[in-house]
Amino acid sequence: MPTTPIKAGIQAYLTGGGAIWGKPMMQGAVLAIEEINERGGILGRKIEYVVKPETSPEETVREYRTLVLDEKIDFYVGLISSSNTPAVGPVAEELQKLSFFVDGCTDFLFESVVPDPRFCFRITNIQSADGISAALGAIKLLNLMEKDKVRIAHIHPDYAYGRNAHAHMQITFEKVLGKDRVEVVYEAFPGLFKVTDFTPYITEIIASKPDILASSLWGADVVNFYKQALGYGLFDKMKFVSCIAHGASPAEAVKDFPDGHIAGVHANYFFLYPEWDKYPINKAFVENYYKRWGTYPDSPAEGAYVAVYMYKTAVEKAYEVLGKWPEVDDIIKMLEGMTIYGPAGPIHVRARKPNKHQCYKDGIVGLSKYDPRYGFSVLTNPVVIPISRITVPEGWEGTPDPKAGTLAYSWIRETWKEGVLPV
Amino acid sequence: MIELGEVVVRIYNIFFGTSVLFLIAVGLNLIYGVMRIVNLTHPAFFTLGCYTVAGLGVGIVISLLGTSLTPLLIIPPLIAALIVVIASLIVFPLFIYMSGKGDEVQLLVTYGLLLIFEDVFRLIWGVEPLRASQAYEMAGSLIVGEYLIPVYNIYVILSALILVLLLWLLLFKTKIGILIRASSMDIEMTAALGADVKKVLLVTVLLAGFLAGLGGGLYLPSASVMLGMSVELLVLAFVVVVIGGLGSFLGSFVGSFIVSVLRTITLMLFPELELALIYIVAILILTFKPEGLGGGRKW
Amino acid sequence: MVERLKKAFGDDLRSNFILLAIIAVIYPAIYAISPGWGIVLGHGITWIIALLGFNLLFGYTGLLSFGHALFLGIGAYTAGFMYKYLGINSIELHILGSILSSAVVALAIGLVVVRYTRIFFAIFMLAIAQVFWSLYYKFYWITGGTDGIKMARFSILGISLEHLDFTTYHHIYFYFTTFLTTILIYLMWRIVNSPFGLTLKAIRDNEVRAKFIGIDIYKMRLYAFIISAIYAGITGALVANHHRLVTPDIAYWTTSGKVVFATLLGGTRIFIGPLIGSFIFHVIESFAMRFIYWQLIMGAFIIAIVILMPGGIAQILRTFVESIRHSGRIGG
Repeated sequence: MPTTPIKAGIQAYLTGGGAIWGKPMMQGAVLAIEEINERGGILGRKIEYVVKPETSPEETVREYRTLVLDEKIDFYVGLISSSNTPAVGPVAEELQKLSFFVDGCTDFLFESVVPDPRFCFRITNIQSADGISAALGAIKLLNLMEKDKVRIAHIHPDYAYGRNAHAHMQITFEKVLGKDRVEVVYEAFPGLFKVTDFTPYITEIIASKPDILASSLWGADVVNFYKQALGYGLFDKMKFVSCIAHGASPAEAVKDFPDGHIAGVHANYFFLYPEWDKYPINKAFVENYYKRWGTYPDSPAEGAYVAVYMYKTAVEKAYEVLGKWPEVDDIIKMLEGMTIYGPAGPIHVRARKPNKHQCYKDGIVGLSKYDPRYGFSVLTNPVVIPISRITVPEGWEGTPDPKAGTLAYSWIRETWKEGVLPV
Repeated sequence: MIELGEVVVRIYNIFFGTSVLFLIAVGLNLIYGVMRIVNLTHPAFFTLGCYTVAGLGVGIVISLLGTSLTPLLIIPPLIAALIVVIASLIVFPLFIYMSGKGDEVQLLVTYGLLLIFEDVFRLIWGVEPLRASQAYEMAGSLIVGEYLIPVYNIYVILSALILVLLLWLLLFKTKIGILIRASSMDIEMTAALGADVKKVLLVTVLLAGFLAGLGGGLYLPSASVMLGMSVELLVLAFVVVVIGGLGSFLGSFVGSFIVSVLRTITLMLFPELELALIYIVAILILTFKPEGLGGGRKW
Repeated sequence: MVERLKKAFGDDLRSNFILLAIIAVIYPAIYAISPGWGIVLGHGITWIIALLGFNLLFGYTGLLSFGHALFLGIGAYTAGFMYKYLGINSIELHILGSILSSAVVALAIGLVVVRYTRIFFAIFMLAIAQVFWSLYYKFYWITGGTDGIKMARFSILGISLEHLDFTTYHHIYFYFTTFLTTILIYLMWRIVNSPFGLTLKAIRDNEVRAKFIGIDIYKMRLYAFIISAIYAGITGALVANHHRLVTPDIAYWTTSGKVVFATLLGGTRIFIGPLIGSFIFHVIESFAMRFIYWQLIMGAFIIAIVILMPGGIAQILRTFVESIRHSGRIGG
């Protein structure tokens, strides 16, 4: 049994627009590592870690190779951007390094780029689940099934994530409400973090008189948007349905976010749920994270935290069976099909295609409400969206939709019954 | 059926966009007009104005005078303008170095400065986008039929108008203004007639900086500032001066106005096209009327 | 006595080939010590071609383009589309394809753009490069958008490289690229030393006089533009295969800035400049990636080079080498 330390490689956005996700991600991983080390490490071995920046795909791959080849890490936790997971995934397979992608949730990764992964796993819910849960949450919370007609406007950032959210929100609305009940009155795709003056968009959206505005704007974009939109009275004229606005820290930025709109959290974790009095794992995580870092954890933090614990659990389980420190393939075998309880609730690692090695946990959507205890807008009236009802099941044989690019889109189009709420 | 309220709001947005773009374009055209230098760094001065207000100006005013509207409207943009004037002063020797040298020298040096400024922003203010929307929020909204419009934008439009007036007075009614205009027409002759050319150049650069900084300071409360903004603005500013005509005072207005109108129309009718349409128009103008629509290089 | 025009260091073919040979020899050793640095050398060798093309336009013709990322993007997406839609992963065909596509696009754009003054040219290229970049986003279902186009390992001479370990694969990539670069260096050297090349220099030095003596400056610029675009496109196709992923990033203005800076660093007035620049740039970049204020360094360097050492590192090397040669001759 080796006693030397285990080396973890962490790769996160440390600077630039992605840092608001990258920093918490790194902090979640480090918290887990510190907790584990305090309790004696994994089977007596402490964990050391090296942090490298995540940036453009080219540089990110370069840094990843450095971690694996020069730093000789044992496992890897990292990545937020959906441009980077498709770049790093094949390299992880090539270099045969166990890698946990915290986000970079694009369906593209396990559906096209690495359809039969051995070494890479992904913690965050798959991207298509994002738009689908927000749409279903909106339908439930706003009682859209009762309405004769629903007028929808869209505004999404012009890149893969925004297009994905748009496509899946739209098809969910069309299927569940019925195509003839849904009318798209306006659609726009401003560049990601390129626009600071959203006023022309706001004006056009208001002029098109929608009932709901579906949006996957996040980070600086959603903050600019909603502050300007307040000046134009947008929130009094329609319901804002965001799949992600409450999921990106700092939550402090959404202090004056209007109440009563649909708050999505990237189909992942919001620190108040599962409720602390019912689920001590979450309570402990939030308290420890706050004590260590001074802010509340968000989904990248929770994801990275879970990734490290997933590794630990798999190693310990394998040890129980084999009686010695496991090889990477033994760890992988333990991970496949495993369910562990993280702060967001139970999370399951899929063992079979499609989307092998993708992790699944129930997502939540809720209504926005300012909470004076925290001083920012939080998610209330949570609706849990069972992940199994909104993702392509194991063994499903279909092809990705040519335009939307995902299996989920084809799956919804072919198997969901029109006019029926699947959750 | 288009309602009156809709039309009013769109026109309102167009004037707001025009005001902001104008404040960037006029400084760029001023420097080109007088010094024949295409100052790629110029948008960074606008961004510096934004950062100054968000990172410094508003904070100072609030701590000294509390959160009250009038000081917040007036003081931070002036602080921004001052800081940018100081920055312009610091880089002024480079401008002197560049004038008279080849095109590629100007382009490379001002491009290099642009990169430096971007990292200076990161150094001083970090990587997060910055906001200071107190003035915007406090100014509230005005009811126009069924629509609401933010009052703060009116303030920006009015300020731009006042600045245009003051600029006109400066250029046409003061001695230094006349010298600036003379230099833009024929700098050698102006020097030969005994004018202190170096002083004219200095005033030009500082004036351009002042306008850019003020523009940034006025704009910021309605939005936010983030890294990478300078280059986005550079490309937009380029389109504005191409359409209006490089070096033209009137062109600064014409270009800004047309770009704002195009943006509004595009977002209304073909939202997917967005900026692409504006670039295409710029390329068309470059191809068929390269001197722009503002009537040539006149001050 | 055979009178021969002795070219100064850097402008003669020999010094260029010697540099390449040195790199080719030390590469496997460096890779063995640190694969990370071996890959950096791989980047270095890949970008020489683009920088040579860029410098034909800038150093020799006087046209500064802030939008050369456009052609890198064309080359990269050509390779990507060939793989994604035609199933072709032969690197030879990728390169031929990117030559064709870059030439066509360069012709279309060039016909318009070479008529303008240098300043307009520079910024026009920036604007049109941004248009193309935004198109790669807009047509996401064709280009893969920000997900990008994922590519399999390229095949060489029809032979698949899928089953090799990564190190061998990278070695093959490196030496193939070295071989290609050698040919393209020779070609470019012939171009700049031909009458056409001299014509370009004449245009660079004094447009008015060139026009006066009957040179069709627009046509010459157009040819230079197309050749420089082809070179950039080839690098684009190589990059696509080196990274095995094509995303819109390659067409973004920061890539154009990288091209400008690296060439400037190496030296724009001496033929060997782009070679030196490509390697030194990638080495610095590798270090500086850890240092957050990378743009500050680049910007300061650009200004410093323009003001203090406009000949770049190649000029410094030449001064050094020539002084040795000179003193050698005196001594002997």
